[in-house]
Amino acid sequence: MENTQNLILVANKLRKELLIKHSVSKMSHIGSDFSALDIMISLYIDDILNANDHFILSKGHAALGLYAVLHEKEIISDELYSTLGKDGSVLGEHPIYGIEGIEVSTGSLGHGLSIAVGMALAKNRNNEQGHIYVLLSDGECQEGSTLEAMNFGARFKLNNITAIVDSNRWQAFDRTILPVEKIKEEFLTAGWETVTINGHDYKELHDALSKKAEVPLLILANTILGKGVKSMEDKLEWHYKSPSEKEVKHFVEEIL
Amino acid sequence: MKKAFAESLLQLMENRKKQKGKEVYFMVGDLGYAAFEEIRKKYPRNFINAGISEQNMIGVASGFSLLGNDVFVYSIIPFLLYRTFEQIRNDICYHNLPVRLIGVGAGLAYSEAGSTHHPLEDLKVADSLPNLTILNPSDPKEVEIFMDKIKTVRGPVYMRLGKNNEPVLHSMHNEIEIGRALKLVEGDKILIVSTGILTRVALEVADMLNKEIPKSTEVLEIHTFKPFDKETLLSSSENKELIVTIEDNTGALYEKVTSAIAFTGKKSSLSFKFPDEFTHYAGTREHLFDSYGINTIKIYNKINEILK
Repeated sequence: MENTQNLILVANKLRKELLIKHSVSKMSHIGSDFSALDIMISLYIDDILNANDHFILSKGHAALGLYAVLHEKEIISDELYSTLGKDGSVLGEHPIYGIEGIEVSTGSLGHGLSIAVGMALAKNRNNEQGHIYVLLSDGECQEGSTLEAMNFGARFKLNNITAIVDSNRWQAFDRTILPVEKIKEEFLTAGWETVTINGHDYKELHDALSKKAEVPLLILANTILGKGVKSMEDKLEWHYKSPSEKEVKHFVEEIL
Repeated sequence: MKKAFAESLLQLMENRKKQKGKEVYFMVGDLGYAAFEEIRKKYPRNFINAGISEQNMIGVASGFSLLGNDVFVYSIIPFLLYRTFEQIRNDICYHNLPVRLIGVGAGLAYSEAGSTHHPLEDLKVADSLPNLTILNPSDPKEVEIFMDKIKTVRGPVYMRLGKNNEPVLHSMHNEIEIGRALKLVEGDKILIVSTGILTRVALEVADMLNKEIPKSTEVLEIHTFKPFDKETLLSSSENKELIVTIEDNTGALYEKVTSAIAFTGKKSSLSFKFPDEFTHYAGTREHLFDSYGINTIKIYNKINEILK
């Protein structure tokens, strides 16, 4: 595992970068980026992902967080990254397949887990190497299609898929309807293995993401919307707002 | 048609095995009794019953296809196409994946089953999706031919089937090409344009009319609903006194035919609308509208250009 201190340094750098990117582009969802960022840093910077693995960002609205990580990993070029927020850029608020490092276009919730179990079963049937990782929001576990995919994954006993739920307990205009305990119960009952962790702790993330199970694995990652900037943490407004120039100056100082 | 599809698919799977080519996967939405037993028995690894969960089935098909596998998905049309509309739009069509969506029970094929099982608007619904090729065969022979030629379509396909025991309408001589309207009968006064199973009725009506006045009635079959072969339609409709459309849908064909013919007169016409494709860029609203030529100045200039 990568030195935790190094990962924290990367996270701080990317959070500062994202404050500016959101501020300049006026794009929403910075709270979601910060909630999911440590999970994606663990996957990419802590080298969880191998060459044959695939990652799907089912909660597509955290796209800017993913771009930042892919840029840090030098998968997205400086040139492309610099277009973010400009007219005609392919880097929108939700990721589009075909962008370097992005295989699936997402943005509508409840699609990613189905695609992921499909990839996992395809690999399984073709006897191919590789593991499928998919990052969901806790809110999207309320979508019926997510539950359909959950049952499908269990039915085919897919041992090459890890679904991570970014549990910040917010949907877009209220607290989530399905509590995280209930999500766990649903998946467990269906036949998944589940593990609950702190989604901002790199050691816990590393252990859970490296885990290989006999059945599909669900990681419930407890997270905080806007994590990393005290003034933003657990505040719904950061699902929508982009920070002003003044706020950026102030928020950057809060990142330790 | 169902039988023709099952046999053609089995043939395709067998050929692939022999040639050691890419695997063909076949996914059903918990259907196939007395239809797909043989496929399941011979190719258990290639047959996937996704169960009663169609939205997930489409996502799974997308996952298979994203990793380079050939996939056919089969269900009754309303469950295949309506329940899953967003999955088909985003996960299949937006990604332009070569997933083959096979719908059964076109029009009133499941007559006794009632309205929930009667897709009377599926051509309109499917037509609204960019990148999707729509095949509407009229007989089992055409199903076989499409199953053979489907590999030439690089993007997604929606093919709608009736049920079973439809009569064979096509002879060996008919040259059936995906994307090309098919003239089945020649005539110079009346043009009957048909699509799908009701082509049988079109042929019967034409036969009656042509017995009364020889060579009066032409029949043009639109077996590929999208892309729509406007060119052949316009050449067939030229100098006809009457144009008739026959379909098992709520005007999908009628609207295609009338809109194609409407602007063929001398009057110029212009339309400002989005093209039939997905957006691939981000940016300000002004920028995006401008890229489609939809703003005051661009519209004004275009009109002036035409009037010059």
